[in-house]
Amino acid sequence: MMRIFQTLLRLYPPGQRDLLEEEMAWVFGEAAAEHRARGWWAYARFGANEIVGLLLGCVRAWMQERGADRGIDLRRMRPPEVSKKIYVTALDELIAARQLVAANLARMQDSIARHEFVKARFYSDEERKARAQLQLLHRKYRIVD
Amino acid sequence: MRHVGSREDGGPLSEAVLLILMSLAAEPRHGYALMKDIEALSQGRVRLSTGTLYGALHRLLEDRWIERFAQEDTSRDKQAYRLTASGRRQLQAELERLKQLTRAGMARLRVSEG
Repeated sequence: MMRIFQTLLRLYPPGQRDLLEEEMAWVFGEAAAEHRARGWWAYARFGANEIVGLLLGCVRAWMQERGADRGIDLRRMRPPEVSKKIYVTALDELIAARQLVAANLARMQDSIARHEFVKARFYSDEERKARAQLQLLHRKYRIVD
Repeated sequence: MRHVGSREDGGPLSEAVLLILMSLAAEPRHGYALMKDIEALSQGRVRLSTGTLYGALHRLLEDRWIERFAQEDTSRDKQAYRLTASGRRQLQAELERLKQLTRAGMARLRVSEG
């Protein structure tokens, strides 16, 4: 059943798949093991429910992807079809996210230079989180790089 | 933004979204723990499939009602989710709305019975 699940996961839009694929497969594996222990009927029902849920989720994800606001190219002026509010919000959020990535990176490098490796590890984790948030914003506002 | 029944749309939250927010209000949880807690919260009535759960989580992440972080309590880093201040406000507003509806409904019932 895991193979069917992983095949269906490949139908998801790349953004969502890259972010959540591994985690979804892990959660599915845990739930599948639990239902398998309850007997074949519970397992079959679980499998049917999961496949339907995954297909519906996939359709919703693609609809969300297609229906999202048009992409924003930050190298150009605000296109007329993108509202000023959305454009300004996107800019504000992106600038803040990029500053956070840069600040954490600088702190990490500084900690390494001072041989403070516990601190360096902390800022490395923070930088990774900030980068993930930045990627999420890029997808949310469909930023054209 | 593109929430299923988001407050910005003026509509109520979907049951899946409400249950996820309620579950995360108590403590941060990873995906499987969320699934189990939602089943318990709804007294076994709602069992979200992985696709439904992660579809809702993805939208909530985009809207920044929740955030993702690495939970380091096990041998492997699990990604866990927690409510943001904005998510907590949305949950409070939704629960207020439901409370008001329940009050109004009960009042009508009392009138028809009395």
